[in-house]
Order: sequence, then C-alpha cells, then structure tokens
Amino acid sequence: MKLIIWIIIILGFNVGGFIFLILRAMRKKSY
Amino acid sequence: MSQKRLRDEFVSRWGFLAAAIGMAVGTGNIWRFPRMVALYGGGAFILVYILALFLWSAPLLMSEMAMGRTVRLGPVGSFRDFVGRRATWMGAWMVAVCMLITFYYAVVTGWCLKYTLLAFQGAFKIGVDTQSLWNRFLHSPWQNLFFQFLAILITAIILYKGIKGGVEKVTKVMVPALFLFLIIAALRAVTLHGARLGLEYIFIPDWSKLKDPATWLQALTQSAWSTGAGWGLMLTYSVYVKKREDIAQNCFIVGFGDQTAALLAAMAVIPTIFALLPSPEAAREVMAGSNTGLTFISLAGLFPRMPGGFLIAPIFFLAMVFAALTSLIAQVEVGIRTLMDFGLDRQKGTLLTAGACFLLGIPSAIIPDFLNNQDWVWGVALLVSGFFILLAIRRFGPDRVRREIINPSSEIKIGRWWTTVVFYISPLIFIVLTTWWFYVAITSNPKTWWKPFSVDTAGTIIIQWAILLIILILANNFLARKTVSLPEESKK
Repeated sequence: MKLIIWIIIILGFNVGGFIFLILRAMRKKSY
Repeated sequence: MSQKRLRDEFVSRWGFLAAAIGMAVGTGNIWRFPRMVALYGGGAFILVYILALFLWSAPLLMSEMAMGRTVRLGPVGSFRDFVGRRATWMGAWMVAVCMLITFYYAVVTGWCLKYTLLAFQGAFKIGVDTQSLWNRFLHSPWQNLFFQFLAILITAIILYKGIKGGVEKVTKVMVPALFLFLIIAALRAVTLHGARLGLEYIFIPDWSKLKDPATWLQALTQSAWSTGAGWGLMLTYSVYVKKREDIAQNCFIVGFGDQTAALLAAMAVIPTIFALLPSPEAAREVMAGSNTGLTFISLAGLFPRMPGGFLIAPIFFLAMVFAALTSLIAQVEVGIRTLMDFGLDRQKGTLLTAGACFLLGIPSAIIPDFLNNQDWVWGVALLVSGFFILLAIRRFGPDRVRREIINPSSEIKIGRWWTTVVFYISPLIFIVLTTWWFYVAITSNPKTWWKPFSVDTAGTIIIQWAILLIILILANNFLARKTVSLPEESKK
C-alpha cells in the first residue's frame, strides 16, 4: 500500500505535470 | 520576401519543444539517474531532485531562453549584447565547455550505436561474457573511431539541413519514439517476477538519506546536468523561436519532460536489476558501480534472461541512441551557431564543427582514460557556465528580465520567487556545489590532489580551466569584434 501511494504521488506530480503542461501548451500551438 | 520570413526557425511550438526535450534527455537520464535514485534514498532523492528543478534548472533554462530569444545570437554574441563587450569571454567559455564535452559525447553516442547494432544482431545471449565483450570493444580504437564518426556523420547530416528542415523534422519523430521505447521497457521491467523490490528502491523514501549531504548534492548536480541548464543549448535553440514564443511554460515542460524520462528509465532499469540478479546485495553492487558497467555489462547480460528480452534489448539501446543523438544535435548546433555568428553560412559551419568534433574527439575515442579525464574536468565546468548565466541576468536585472521578457509572452506568469531564486538561491547553490566538489576531490586524494596530469584530481581541473580562461579573456575583444551585430529589425 505504501508503495502504491508513493508511486501515485511521484508519478502523479511528475508525469501528470508533464502531460498537463503539454496538453495546455498544445492549445496554443504557435504564435 | 522579408528578412523575417527568410529566417531558419522552428515552424511550430511542438517542433521547438521536441528539440528542447530531446536536448535535455540524454544518456544521463538512462544510466546515471537510476543509479543515483537507488543509492541515495529512492523517493527522498526524487523529492530533492524535483526541488532542484525549481531552484536551479528551470530558472536557468528560462534565463537562457530570455537571452537567446532577445539577442538572436549564440552564447558569445548574447553575452556581448546582453551584458556588455567585456563579458564576451563568458559566452565563449560556455561554447568552449559545451564543445569540449561534445568531443567525447560523440564517442559515448558511438557506444550506444554499437550496442544497438549488437542488440539487433541478437549478440546478447545467455552465456555471453558481457564484461569481456565491453572490454574488447572499449580497447578497440578502430571500432570506437568508426562509431564516433558515424554518430557525428548522422548529426552533421541533420544539422546541415538546418533547423526547420533537419532538427525539427528529426526530433519530432525521435523524441516521441524515445518516450514510447522507455514506456515499453518500463512496462516489461515492472511486470517481471521480483520487480517489486526494485520499485520500492525507486519510490519509497528513505528519509535518513536526507541527512547525508551527498544526497542533496547528487540530486542538484543530476538536475543541473540532466536538464541541460547552463550549457548554452537552450540559449542557442531559442535563437530560432518566434519572437513571442512562450518562455516559462516551455521551460517547465522541458524540465518535467526530462524528469519523466528519467523516472521511466529508472522503472526500466532498477526492477530489471533487482528481479534478475540473484540477490539484493548483487543489485546494490551494480548500482554502486559505473554508468557504463550498469548499461553495457549488467543490463546487456540480463536482457537474454528476461522473457521477451530479445525485443527489449534493441528497444532499450535504441532509446539510448535517440537520447544521445538528440542531445548531440543540440550540442553541435552550439558550435555551428557560433561560427554562423562569425559570418559563416550554415553549411560551412556544419562541416567545420563536425570536422573539429571528429578530430578533437579522437583522443577520447582511443584512450578511455582521456575520456574519463575530460568528463571529470568539463562536467564540473558546466556549473560555472550556469553561474555566468546567473551573472548575466543579475547585470541586466532579474526583475526586469521577468517583467519585460519572460512574462509578456508566457502563459504561466512567473512571480517574484523567480527573482529571489536567480539573485540569491541559485548562486548559493553554485558556491556550495563547486566548493563541495573541490573539497571531495582534495580530501579523497590528500597527497596527489594537485597533480595536473592525473585523470580525476582537483589539479587537472584547475590547470585546464586556467588555460581556457586565459585564452578566452585574452581573445575577448577579438571575439566581440568578430561576432556580427544584428540590426534591431532582424531580431523580431
């Protein structure tokens, strides 16, 4: 259980943050 | 056709992001980060590593992008125009350090090419002695030269075609493929019987490791090297972005992308090592060894013992090739951009830079200790390059950079924290890291630390840095004069 929680915290922040920012950026592809 | 439209630049935001993420993700994400995580407290190390992104890497990436996008010249011209003529040598230091690393990084890329070829040939079989396979290759000058040449040739062909026609087209394919390969390798590794222990080593924090200064220092240096912050790479790529290209969000994407690739690599490597080696002690021993030992000896020997390993081996080594090549492309471009700023066209600049990379990389290709020495000397010098960027921003005014350059075009507005970090915290990190580095170098060799002709002494760093510094400071005015001055109109 402890392992699952830490995987969610770390991957959630990092991979989740990466995907969130990419999707946000792709709304505005170029200037 | 206007001057503006004739510029060779990234056509799309995604093109720039792919190139910048490719620049950041290199072999260090795949062979160094997993070792550091396993050795320095798993989740605890990762948390410090994430913190380092905000305190060193992201502020530096933003600073570099602000300089490159504003001045529209490589590091030499950027320092001249952003800071002042007398600081031109600092930009030249960045270029020189980046190129001195490139000379041996092409050799490392060649190793990855060789092992990908071996993997596709099915050379990694049960019973093959991967230790002697690696030793034979490492001590075969002709093979090393051939694969170093191949790495430079591929890079040069891409860069010869320019940013739009070469870099953008290639990285838009290579970078997503790299992530896909890492995901496949990670999925295979975490589903191995016995992978759980490896996952625990990555994710569960060993808080006691936070008391060890080495954990903090390794996490900070890993972030600094891995994101490419302070290398002059982001600065150079930013010469080719549109005038209103986002800075803050793009730099965070690069930072998070770099960390994601590192985590995927850790999930591909560590569970494999823990699941397939006979004991956790043996796994820890591999992790405490070397980057090349982990990759080219241990993993190469373990893939054939993994179900589906005949597919995972080529996928893993191809991921390494893509990671190395997309970084090598950015590094060689720093040299090309500098020559273009001296008035050469891209084609001549590419041929000259690629030729220099091959010739000056020969000693690293044929003498392993020469490569180790250069890695030792110029790896630390990157921290100095990062410090020069901080000085440039300090001179221009950090808050002015934030308000006038970064925020007007960024979707994420950067607060005053950035000014504080760039003005106080990042310089403090530089002082602590370099002091620690020299302290360790001196105390671990108390009698021989001063020797200038040893592989990894403080003395060899001091002498090589001093020679480079003297040459560049003496050449300051020449470099400032030689670099073209762009009219304001062409910077738009």
